[in-house]
This record gives sequence, structure tokens and C-alpha cells, in this order.
Amino acid sequence: MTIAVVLILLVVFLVAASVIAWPIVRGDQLPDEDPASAGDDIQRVAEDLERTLDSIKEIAFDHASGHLSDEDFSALDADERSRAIELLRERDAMIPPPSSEDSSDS
Amino acid sequence: MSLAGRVLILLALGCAVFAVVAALLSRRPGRRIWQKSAERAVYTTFALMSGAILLMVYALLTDDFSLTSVADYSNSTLTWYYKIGGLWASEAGSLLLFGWILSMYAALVTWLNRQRHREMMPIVDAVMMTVTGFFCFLLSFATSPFDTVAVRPIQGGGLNPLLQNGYMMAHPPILYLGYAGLSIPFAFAIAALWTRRLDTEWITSIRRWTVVAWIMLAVGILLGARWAYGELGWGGYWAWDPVENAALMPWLVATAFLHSIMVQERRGMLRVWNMVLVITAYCLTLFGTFLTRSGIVSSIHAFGASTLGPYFLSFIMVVAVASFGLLISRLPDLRSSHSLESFISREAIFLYNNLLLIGLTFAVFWGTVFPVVTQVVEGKAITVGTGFFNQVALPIGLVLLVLTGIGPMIPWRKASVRQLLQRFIAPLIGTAIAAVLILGFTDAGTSLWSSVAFIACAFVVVCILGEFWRGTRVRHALGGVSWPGALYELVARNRRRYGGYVVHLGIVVLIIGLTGSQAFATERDIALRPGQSASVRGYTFVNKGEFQTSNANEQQVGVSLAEFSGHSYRGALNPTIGYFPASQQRETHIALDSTPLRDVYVVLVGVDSSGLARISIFVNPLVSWVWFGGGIMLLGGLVAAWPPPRTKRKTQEVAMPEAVQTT
Repeated sequence: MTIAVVLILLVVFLVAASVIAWPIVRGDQLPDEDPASAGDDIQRVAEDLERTLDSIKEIAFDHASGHLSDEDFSALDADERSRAIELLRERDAMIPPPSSEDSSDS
Repeated sequence: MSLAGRVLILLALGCAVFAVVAALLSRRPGRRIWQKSAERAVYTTFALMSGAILLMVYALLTDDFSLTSVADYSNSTLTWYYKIGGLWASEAGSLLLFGWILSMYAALVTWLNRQRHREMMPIVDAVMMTVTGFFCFLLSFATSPFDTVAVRPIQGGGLNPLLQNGYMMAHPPILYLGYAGLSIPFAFAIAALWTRRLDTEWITSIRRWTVVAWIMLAVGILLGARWAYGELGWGGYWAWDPVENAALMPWLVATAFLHSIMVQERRGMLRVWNMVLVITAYCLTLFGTFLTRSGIVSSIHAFGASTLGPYFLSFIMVVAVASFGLLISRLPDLRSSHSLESFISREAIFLYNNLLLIGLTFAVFWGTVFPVVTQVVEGKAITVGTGFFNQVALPIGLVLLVLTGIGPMIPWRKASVRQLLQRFIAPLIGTAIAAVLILGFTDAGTSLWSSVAFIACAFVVVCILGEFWRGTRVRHALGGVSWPGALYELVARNRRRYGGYVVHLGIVVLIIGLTGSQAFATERDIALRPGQSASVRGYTFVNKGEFQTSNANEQQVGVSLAEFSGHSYRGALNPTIGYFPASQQRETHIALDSTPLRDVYVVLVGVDSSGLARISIFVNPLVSWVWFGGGIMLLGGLVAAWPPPRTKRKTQEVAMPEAVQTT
């Protein structure tokens, strides 16, 4: 019984060690500047933009329901719209321009 | 069984340590692949901890009395779910459950973010695996659920009769889900500080997790209160017990955090404060775990003799010093982008709310540790009674309640006197009408504080309903939807805001219950021979005689009471006293007649040989509102935490330019 348990535990250990070590043992290399990290940044900007657009809608809703004076609405709305434009520019700068091949295809 | 369990936990510890090292190494140039390995180590830790906990459950279900945790906390006569409850009845078993939940959260967070937050995730993994590893370390070297007994007994000691209750089957696991859940915002906060990604990204990532942990803590606390009410037989449900306070404190701080992050998101303010709140909430969860397991406080909820106190205290010190040290080093990066423009603004109300919540937390903390401090300084523990807590909590709670109504009505940035008059005239008229009804047609007027509390509740309800009305009207005015459709759209389009309002409504209902049951409770001790009757607050009880029942686990003696309200018969109440041969313990089983307006709560103190029954009768008004309020809070929390439909993001991406082109 004990020997069977020890054997099972040994198998569990070997499986766990193999699963964990596999990416390193296989010698996979990921570049420090992961191409996906650019996607990560784009996603971050997209989420920030989403938040900002939600804020614009919320401010408009607060204004419509009487929670914001005209003056405060203008100031807050302008702040958020500037932020949205800034984020749109940031996002556009991150997306590489289409290659000439892509252009010719289209 | 014992060997397998121990080895699985040791392997989990090894994996957790490896995950920490690999995650940190992955931040070095040329070693990004180590993060892949770290992620796999996180999943493996969860798998191994799952194996360990399944073994423990199997041991409990199959009455493997060779294990101390089974022999001391279970026996073969228990039903299967009480056998599983033996897992968290023992200190080691509860640590195993806590560690397993931590590993589950770590695996879930890693999986959900495997394509996101690539810079922060190694640190998030490292933090979560450090905490999980700490629990694995304790389970391996300080106290093990897989310890064995010298001589295997034929029968186990059985589960403490107080824990043989449905609420106790749910209370500890749900509370642990809340405690452990707060490790996620903490891990992201540390990752944000470490990587200097201190914009609103980390807050967006943890908002929903924090709401989930907050809901679990709230539900866990209320289930514990409901257990105490039904099981302890003293007629109440909250006694400011140190362990109850230990769960309340992180909940209060998490509540403050959930409000203050809105200020950071909208106005870029309170960035340092939010970090302080996250770190404090997490340290308080560790402190709560320490209190329960250190043996420094006496509590019905605490584990008895324990050697874990020094481990937890050391860990809390390390976490607090490291976290606040990191925060201090990042202060220059955490400057606010705006400042407070007016003391009458939405952000100012949030700030007051935060200060009050933290003030209340500090008062509860001080009242909880004061006996320990006096023990150390003066050599004898001076206990802090419920009077202290009530005196502090009552005024702070009332102001917080009123702010709950005021906050949503005040605009961001600043409010003019004209705006305030416009916003508050209708709620104040509504409140005045409610006040006349409350004082004129109820008993509330006999107690100043309860009158104030009920009127404040009416004010908040009017304000919140007004918010729903205004929002629905605006949505309806946009056209194309019916009134119910407009209300649905209103909530669906801004779940967080309106879910939050539902939570506020739940808190109001809960406070009505708290106020009614605290201020207007009646308690009477009576002694009745068979055939005799007694009246308490309009209810008459007739002793119909003694009875006895038994099963394999318990022998009961009880008294049957016929309950009348005026002349109408309401039913039989059968309070009993149970004797548990396995654990040789006695326990009272209350009889409860619960209605929305009041509970009749009957405790049998004893029956002598002549048949004289000594009985305590409590008439507790509005107690069921406490549980109902908790249910509404849960519902509101779920609405607030529910993720938006997946199509929303795409729709917004399409709508992006249009929304901005109007500038």
C-alpha cells in the first residue's frame, strides 16, 4: 500500500516538474520586447479609451438628469473629450501603417 | 493517506516558491520564457492543493480516524455534510481550505490575464504565490491536517454541536472567499507600484474582484450573524466579538476603497489613498486570520490553543513594511491630476465617507486589541464591552447612512446653493412626510436614536428612488422604450452605479432591522409547569408538557409551548436541549416564530424533575429585515460586479470616433 502511494506520488512529482519546466527545457525563447506586448499596450489604450467614452456618456447622462450644471458639464466633458482624442492619437500611433503590399492588394 | 496529503502540500509549497522565483526572474532581459514556467507552476500549485483538499474530504467522508483532524472533529454518526464541515472545524483543516482558495484565485487570475497586463502579471503571480506559499509552509511545518494519532480510535470525537448547523456549513468557506479574494487587489496594487504603471489600469483590473471579495465578506459576516442568532441562544446576532470584528474591519476598508476608486477614475485624485486602502484591507485580513489563530483573544469563533500566532504576526509585519515601503518609494509617481475644488462636491462626499469608514475601522480595531494591549502593559486584560462599540458605531453609522443618500445627489467638482436646493427639496419633503408617519404611527418615537435612524433611512430611500426615477425619465425621454424598458436599460447600461444604489437600499433595510431589533427588543425569563401560561409583549405561551427524542448523534429533551397572539393560536414552539454523547457536550436548540415584523425567540434553559420548565423568551422586532437587507445587498453587488456583454467593447470601438468627433 505504502509503496503504491510512494510510486503514485513520484509520478505526480515527475508530471508536475515536467509541466512546469517544459517551456525552459525546450529552450523556447521569447524576445524581451514581446510582439504581444505591443498588443498589450494597444489593449491598455483601448480599455482606457473605453473608460473615457463611458465617462463622456455618464457626464452627458448626469447633465441630462440635472446632476451637473451647464458650466460643470462643459468643463468635465471637455476634459474627457481631450483625453479621448489624446488616446485615439496614441492608439493610431501604435498601429503600424499598412504595408505597400497590403495597399496594392486592396 | 497521511503521507500522500503531506507530500502534495510539500510539492505545492515547492511549486509556489518556484513560481515566485520564476516570475521575478522573467523580468530580467532574455528570460521572459520563465513567466510561462511560472504560470504553469501557479496552475500546478492549484492542482496539488486541490489533490490535498480532496484527500482530506475523502478521509472525512470515509471516517479515517487515523488522522487527528478526522478523529477530533468528526464521527461516523454525522451526516455527510457535517463530516465535510469537519474540514473547517479544525485549525489545520481551515488553513488547508484557505490555502486552497488562495491557490484557486491565483490560478483564475493568471488564466484570465494570460494575454493581458504582461508587465504586471509576473509581480501579481509572485505576490499571490508568496501568500499561498506561506499557507503551504504553515501546513507543512507548523500544523498539518494530515497529522496522525498514536492509536486509531474506533469512533471520532465528533463535530462541535454548535457547528452542526446549515449556516456554519456556508459561513467559513464564504468568509474565506472574501478574505482570500482581497489578496487579488493587493497583488495588483503591489504590481502597479513595482512596475510604476500607476494610471487607472490596475484599478480597472481589480474593481470587479474587489466587489466579489466584498460581497463574499458581507455574505459571510451575515451568515455568521444568522448562525449566532439561531445557535447561541442569547437572542442576538452581533456581539462585537473580536473575531466578528476581524471580519468587519477589512469589509469596512474595502467599502471605503470601492467608493474612493471612483474618485480616482473620474478625477485622478486619491491615488495614494487608494493604495493605502488596498494594503490596509489586505493587512486586516491577515490580522483577522491572526486573531482567530493566535489565542490572544477569547472568542467563541476562535480556535483554541494555537501555535500559529507568531507566524502570522511575522508575516503581517513583513507584508506591511514591504508594501508601505514600496508605496513610499513611489510617492512622486502618485501625484493627483486634480485637487478638491469644493467641500460640497461628489468627490468631497466620497472623502467624508472614507474618513468615517476608516475612523470606524480604527475604533473597532482599538476596541478589539485594547484587552491585548492592557494585558501586555498592565498584566490584566481590560475587556471592551459592547457599549463602547455601540457608542462609536451609532453616530458614525448614522452620518454614513445620511451620506449614502446625499452622495449621489451632489454633482462632481462643486455644487451651488441653488443646485442643492433644487436637488434636495423633494427628498426633504418626502422625508418630512415619512417622519410624520414614523413618529405618529409606530413606537419609534420612544427612542431618540432609533427615531433619527428610521428618519435617516427614509431620507436615503427617497433619495435613491429619486435617482432611479430621474434616470428612468431621462432614458424614457430618449424615446423608443417603455417605462419598464427604460428602467431596465438604465440599470443594464450602468450596472455599477445602479447596482451600487441597490446595495445602498439593502444597507438601509439592514439598518432598519438593526435599529428595530436593538432598540425595541424584549427579554423575559419565565418558569412554567405543564398547563401553566405566561404572557410576554402580547404573546401568551402555554406549557403543553415535556418531550424527549433521540438519534444516533444526539439525545434531546424539550418543552412544547402553544403560542397565542391575543386569542389567535399561532402554533407550537418546541425549544430543546440536546446532548451529544460523542463529544459529551450540551447545546440548546431555540424555537423561532419569525415574521417580517417581529421574531418570537424561545430558549429552553432547563426542565427539572417536577416538569418545571425554565424558559427565556425574546420578542425581537424587525430581525428578518437584517437578513432581507443582506439579500438585497448581495443582489446589488451581483448587478454591480456582473461583466458587461462581450459585444459592448466591439460596439464601443465602432462608436469611438463618432463619440469624439462631436468636439
